Amino acid sequence: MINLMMIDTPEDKRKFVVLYEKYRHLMMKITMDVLHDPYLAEDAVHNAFISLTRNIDKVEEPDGIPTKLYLIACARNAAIDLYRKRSSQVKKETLLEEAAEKDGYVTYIDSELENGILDILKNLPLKYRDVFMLKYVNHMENQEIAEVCGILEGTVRQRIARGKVMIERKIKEMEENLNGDNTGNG
Amino acid sequence: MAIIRVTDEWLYQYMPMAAEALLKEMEREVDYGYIFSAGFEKRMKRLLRRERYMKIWNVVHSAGGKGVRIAVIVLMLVFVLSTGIKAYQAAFFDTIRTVWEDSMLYRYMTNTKGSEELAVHEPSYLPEGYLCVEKNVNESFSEYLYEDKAGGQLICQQEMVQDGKTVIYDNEFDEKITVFINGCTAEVYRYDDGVTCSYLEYGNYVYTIFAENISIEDIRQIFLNWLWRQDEIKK
Repeated sequence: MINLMMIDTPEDKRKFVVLYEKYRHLMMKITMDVLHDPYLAEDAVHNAFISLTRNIDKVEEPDGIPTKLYLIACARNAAIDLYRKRSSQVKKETLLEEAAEKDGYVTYIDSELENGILDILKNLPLKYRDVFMLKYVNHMENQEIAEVCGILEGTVRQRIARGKVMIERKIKEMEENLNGDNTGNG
Repeated sequence: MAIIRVTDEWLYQYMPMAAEALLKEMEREVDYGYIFSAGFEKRMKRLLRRERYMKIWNVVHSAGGKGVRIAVIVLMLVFVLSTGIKAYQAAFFDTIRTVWEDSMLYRYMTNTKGSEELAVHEPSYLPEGYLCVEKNVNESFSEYLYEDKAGGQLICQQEMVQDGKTVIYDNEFDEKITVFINGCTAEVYRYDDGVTCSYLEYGNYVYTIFAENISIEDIRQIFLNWLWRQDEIKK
């Protein structure tokens, strides 16, 4: 009941309903990837929507990519929160890594280098990827990202700094591999 | 081949493309035929129908009116008198720490109701060359951001403990040092990129310092002169 008091205007209420109808299955996929249990996954989806009632003002276009990323981050955080309350350390890390691997790879641009760059960004470790998506796609401030992900703002800054170093290293490795392939084929 | 520097501008250009690709992959794997359980549908309907409940509450409240308000005040007085004012104001908090493979989860438990205001303490000691560039203060949190001429950052955060709150810290540190400061214990974590995270609990608050290339002595002095007055510092 207390959470419901957060949605004030009729527009926000309509937005909330639209988001629920459009994205509950996507959020269910995210929480299932972490929890592997449909009942727990539903609990996490429910918790994520409760969290959304407190932050409905952060959502703009219901169909926009930033909205999807925000809901994905909320769902994943809710699932991880639930998992931590229930399970052991080893299982949690295994599940999260499996969830990351499932996202796979895809190519959308002709350039081999740019495809490689997109794969690197898509396959960042989840805790870095969520922060990067919220910052560089959703244009959220560090404090907002910290609230969504349940971490401190200083940790957000750390993950951004370390994430950049990680990306640069992976790009360098990829370029060396591409150069090696080109030399071999030449 | 040109060296790619991963800057903010570069990321603002490439992350949206990566996001779009990622979402397309994810949406291909979504099971839109999944049938949610009856329990879930019931809970979500309750959440979606808030307006009807709020209207009913408003009607009851206005009908109860004065009588309801008096009853509530009497109940509060009974509670306060029965528990004792001292007990009611007692500030107790405990921290449950759970260590995962790459992170630490801190969960706080407290018997305070969060009704007190944040007693803001601004750090009075800073390592040489640091100037304040940003301040963020609200009813339960304060943050001071400092920078030196080289762009090195120092962040001091004070947060009021709230019951049930959880915070996650990264666990990929190279070194952990325990520092005893004026009867309290600070945990200092050093990471391979030169960043240090220092953590201390005192009173109803958690104090955190994030800094690049800072000495233990500077950390000690920051905490000492931030949390305590001179007459409170033990010799």
